Amino acid sequence: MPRALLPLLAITFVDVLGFTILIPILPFYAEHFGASPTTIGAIYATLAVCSLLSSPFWGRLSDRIGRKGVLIAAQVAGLLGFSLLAAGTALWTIFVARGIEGLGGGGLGVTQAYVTDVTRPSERARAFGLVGATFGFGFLIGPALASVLVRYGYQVPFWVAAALAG
Amino acid sequence: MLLPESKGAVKTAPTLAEIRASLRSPVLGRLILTQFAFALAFTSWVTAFALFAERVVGFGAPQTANTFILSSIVAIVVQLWFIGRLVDRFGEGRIAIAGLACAVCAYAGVGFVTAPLMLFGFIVLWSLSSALIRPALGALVSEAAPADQRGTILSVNDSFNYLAFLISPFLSTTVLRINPHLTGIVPTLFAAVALLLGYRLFVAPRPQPVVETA
Repeated sequence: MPRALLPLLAITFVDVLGFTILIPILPFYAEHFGASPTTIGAIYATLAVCSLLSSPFWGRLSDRIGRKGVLIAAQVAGLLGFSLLAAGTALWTIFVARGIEGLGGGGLGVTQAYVTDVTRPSERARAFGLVGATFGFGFLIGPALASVLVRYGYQVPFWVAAALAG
Repeated sequence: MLLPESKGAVKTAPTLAEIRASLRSPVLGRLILTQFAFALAFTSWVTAFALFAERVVGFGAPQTANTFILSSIVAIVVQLWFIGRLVDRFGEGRIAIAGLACAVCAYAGVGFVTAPLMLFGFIVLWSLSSALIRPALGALVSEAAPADQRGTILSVNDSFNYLAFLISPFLSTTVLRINPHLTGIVPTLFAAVALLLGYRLFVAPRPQPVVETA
């Protein structure tokens, strides 16, 4: 397996960890600001809609300028989004934070393009399997970490997610 | 551990017309459609699962979390140790078909679940199917995409996953409200469409060009 995959897998793991730390906490955090169940659904949809719209743009940019810059932009967006979530004082800040995360990242498409660039065709399914397994590890550890961190306050897991993105 | 650049900058990127033409090509277009149908199946199941498990087998949050942990462990094991060997032996196309067939069986089977142990059995089958399908289809899409358009095409493919996350929860929760035992119908239908598309791509004999004789 190419060595170039190792930093990518590390980035992917930290990304997924940042995302999965939020999963169990975000609904309660939003309720703290008076969000209804429908509003909580809309918060999740915000990230999906923004990612849906921005992903092709970042993918196209990565074809022009290279993958690294786009992957770094995704980390910066994560850092800004998670920081805003932690520092937020109103419901609208949660929407803006999720919007920044969704609009600012290249997402899985650019990660897969990177994997494709550095692997031979015969290695690709194995390499995509490694990325998938990394996602799996993130989904195992993130919620457990969240349950520990939330004891110190709702903002703490978000600051940790921001630090991981940074 | 620094991330090296994998691809140099280019002066002229492919035009939108060229990208559109690639997406309309029979193989790449069908692969993306197959992936989209699979994503619809996956998301409609994942987003309805907690309510389904609560109503059918009485699971609370801890049991639901444990089920997802079990599912993650199965996926990690398959993707770390088995997918490479399986693809080397059978090829990505056949592995994707096998995964989609497992997915149809898993989604169709959950309608008959009456006890937690039965549910765990179908969850293991479902995790196995996802762990086979994702890397295999991902590799196939990446190989079918022209090298200078990979970032764009794989990102468009990724966008369809987000689209699935927006569409499918409404369908699956609507069915769940009517009858929880029918929850599997929505993902089964989407997985069956994906299987059919995949079958036509990888297994069904392609029509031979007609050779005219004098």
